[in-house]
Amino acid sequence: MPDRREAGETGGLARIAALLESAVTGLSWAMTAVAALAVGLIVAILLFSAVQRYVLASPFPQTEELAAFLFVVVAFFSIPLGFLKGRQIRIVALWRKLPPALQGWAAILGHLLTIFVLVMIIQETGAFAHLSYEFGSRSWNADFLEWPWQAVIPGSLAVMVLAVAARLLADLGRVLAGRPVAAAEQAARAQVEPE
Amino acid sequence: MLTAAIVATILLALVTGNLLGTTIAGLGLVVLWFEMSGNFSVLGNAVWNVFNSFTFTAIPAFILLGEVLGQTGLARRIYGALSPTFARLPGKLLQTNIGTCTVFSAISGSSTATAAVVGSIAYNELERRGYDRRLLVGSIAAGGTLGILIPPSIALIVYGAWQDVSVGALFMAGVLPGLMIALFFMLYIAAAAKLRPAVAPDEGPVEPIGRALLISLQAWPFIILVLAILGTIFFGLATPTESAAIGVATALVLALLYREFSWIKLWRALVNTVTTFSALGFIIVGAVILSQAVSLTGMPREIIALVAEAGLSPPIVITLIYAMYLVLGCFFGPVEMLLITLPFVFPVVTGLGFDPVWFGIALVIVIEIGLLTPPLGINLFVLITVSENRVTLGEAAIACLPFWILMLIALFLITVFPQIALVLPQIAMGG
Amino acid sequence: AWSADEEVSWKVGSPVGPNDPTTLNMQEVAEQVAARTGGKFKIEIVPLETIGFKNIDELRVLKQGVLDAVYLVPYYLSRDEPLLAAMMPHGALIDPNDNLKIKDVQYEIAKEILEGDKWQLKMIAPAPFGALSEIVAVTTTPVNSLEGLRKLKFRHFTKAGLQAFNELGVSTQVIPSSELYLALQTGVLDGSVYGPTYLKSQSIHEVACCYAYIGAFTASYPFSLVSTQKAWEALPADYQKVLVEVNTEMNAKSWEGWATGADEKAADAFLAEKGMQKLEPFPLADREAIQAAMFKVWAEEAEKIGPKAVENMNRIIEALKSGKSAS
Ligand code: NA
Ligand code: NA
Repeated sequence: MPDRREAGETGGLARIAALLESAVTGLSWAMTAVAALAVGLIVAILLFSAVQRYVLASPFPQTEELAAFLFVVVAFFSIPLGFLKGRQIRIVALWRKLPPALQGWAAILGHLLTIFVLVMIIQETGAFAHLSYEFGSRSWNADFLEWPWQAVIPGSLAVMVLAVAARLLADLGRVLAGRPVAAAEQAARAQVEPE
Repeated sequence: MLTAAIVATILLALVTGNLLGTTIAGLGLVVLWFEMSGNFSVLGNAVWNVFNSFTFTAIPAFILLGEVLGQTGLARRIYGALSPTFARLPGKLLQTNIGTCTVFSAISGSSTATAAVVGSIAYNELERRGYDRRLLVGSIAAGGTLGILIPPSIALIVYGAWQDVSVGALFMAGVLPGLMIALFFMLYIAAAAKLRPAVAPDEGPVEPIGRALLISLQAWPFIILVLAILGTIFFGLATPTESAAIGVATALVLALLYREFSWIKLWRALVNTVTTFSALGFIIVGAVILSQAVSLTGMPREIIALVAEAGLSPPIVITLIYAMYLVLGCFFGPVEMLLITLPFVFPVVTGLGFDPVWFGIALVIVIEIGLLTPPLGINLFVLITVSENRVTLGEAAIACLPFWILMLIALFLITVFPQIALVLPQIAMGG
Repeated sequence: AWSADEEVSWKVGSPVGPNDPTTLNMQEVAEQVAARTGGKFKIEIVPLETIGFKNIDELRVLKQGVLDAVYLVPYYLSRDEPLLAAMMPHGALIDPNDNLKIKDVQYEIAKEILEGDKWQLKMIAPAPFGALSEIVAVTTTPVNSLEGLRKLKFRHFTKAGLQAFNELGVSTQVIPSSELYLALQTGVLDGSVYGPTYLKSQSIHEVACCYAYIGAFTASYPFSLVSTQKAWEALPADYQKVLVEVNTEMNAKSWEGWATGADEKAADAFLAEKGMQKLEPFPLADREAIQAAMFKVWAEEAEKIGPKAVENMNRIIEALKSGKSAS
């Protein structure tokens, strides 16, 4: 979470970062809620497919495909909040040994690298979804249009880019103000000080 | 050039304290850049194909099962009931982890699902009771690997269908090695508890055995749960994937009976299930990209060809193949590893006269070891996530090291005495 | 004299596994092409699953420039090109030999689709294929009639089959083939359509007692070698010729192998030895009912895809009825 007391002190950059962070956090929570509903739906679908085999005369072949699509929603909609809450695994042992002055810049470089990698993945998974849109690709059994489900991947990762960008701006503000950075440090605390 | 870029990427990751997902995906991009002239377009297919798979859909259901048991207090009741009986064993309730993993291995075909469900049932409750966090992580992450050894097993089905090996024989062959490894794990936990009694908390005065067993009867919801899941599979009412959902429904009914059900608790269980994935999704994306990149280079095939053509003796060849899988296991998930390597490894191994059923089991064990090997040990991640990052990757890996060594010993025994795997299928096939 | 002794190497994707007969046939094509070009034209056969793709990605992989060509299996491609999948469904033909009547028209249709504006690929030649002719119903109790199937929980592996059998009153579902073994063992399923060679490779004899002929595989799907235009145009003319010749010859050989049914006879023998019972075929009236139901589903499906699909279907059915088996 951004430290709101800072906003007044370091001015523009921190304020933008805090604003972005709270917007992305809200969005990420909404995505998490959708993913939670998707988990419930997956379970309901699996139950239904077991029950229908005995109760109904004709089974319902769409269930398997729908469950697999919903899994994509669960796996990806959960990613941005996982990042914001510092749940994603980092290897911080070496970074912690850097002199404090370098830690900030190193963290900023790390954010930039993450954004770069994410943008590459977004571009290619987006192109994949776009190809499906052009082909009008449909799932084998249930005839679901595939591209909206495929677009879940670049869409979720784009929200993660925003989240990383919020942390990048906040860290930049701190480094320029001569303060220690928070983002990686927070994760480091989660990793190092569980006692 | 490629090597330099890989080293640079890893160094950069360490210096910036970066996300593991970024780092692994970055390595994949580097390999694609140098080996596939920067053709990244394959990423789209690869990521979609891995995530849009029916075999995964059981995993959220199994994790939800664990979360429902936790939120409704059923897990606490079950462990409370079992505690007097296990209090007399060295390691106390830690021993139940291996037992529970063995039971869930017989339900689920996937090691990650097994670790996830047992982790979400057991971790919080046993940590609350004061058990040693590392031994807790090690026992569940390692116990979870039994998931693909004890039937049913996705990995064995892939292996059998692909290489014309009897799936039934493979399933039977997995039973004894699976039980043997489970026994090793329990003995290790007992030994660790004898040496360092602090790993297990004081569970109160040891009750007389009769009374302890009587109290343990209060764990009946767990028995109902296992019967509901195993029974529906056994009597053909549900596929293993569907049985996960039946488990969730059963847990909810039990919660209602105990008047512990509420919509808030169910919602919390759902959100916690999602949170478990929040740490895994991005790392798996990275792993998919890296394994896709490496498989496009044809490297695994070339290594195997090299080994095959060197004219080495069978024991050396099989040792080298194990070594290759141990290295690959650092970076690949079990099914990807099978798909990438098996077409080239299988002819070499069977050509040397090894039994294909036996090799299936040896292969699964060596692949399971990979699930515990950092940086990309999926079972380690599951437990780190379940612990809400209170355990670091390094700690989890160290916690698993003894289990890792025990599995290597099991692999050695099964290699020297193939009968451990083969005796059951031979009896069944009337051999 | 080869065109300036040019060295060319192609990566060609196979949609099936490394040990599948189809992949082995492709390896042989590669060897013969190398032999006839003095080793100058090298073809590497790459099973898609060993490089992280699925068979349904075949056409995308070509578009993405990862491979130069692929061996096309049309029915895998319903996701990206529904027209290719809208051909004679597996199991709809009553007699395996009916395939000979429709193979040329199905090849023509595929060529029109793939060389059209949407894909702009090059359909090089008909290709060798794994010779399958008989589809069987495998069951856990002896059943060889539609009436008997109506008492079972059944599985079909095609969409048309799924719908058709449900319409015929057989409770039919899709279960992934990786779960088939367990499903038959535990009783989630009582039967499934399958091929005898797959019964053998997936050890289904361990969990089912019997099987009976129920319809024909569509061996006449246009299995063929398809490349990008770019790769084709960059290929020297004499290499092009060799590639067409070798594939066409091997395709003819596949049809000969298909006619003898050697693989299936071997599978039958193996299954008999394992104690499996091959029952009398399903009665002709039942097979005709299945065909009618499948044609109905096919027509509905074609209607959904569009007028082109309906036109293609009519061409195929016309060829079947006019009864001339082309060669
Ligand atoms: Na299992
Ligand atoms: Na690993």
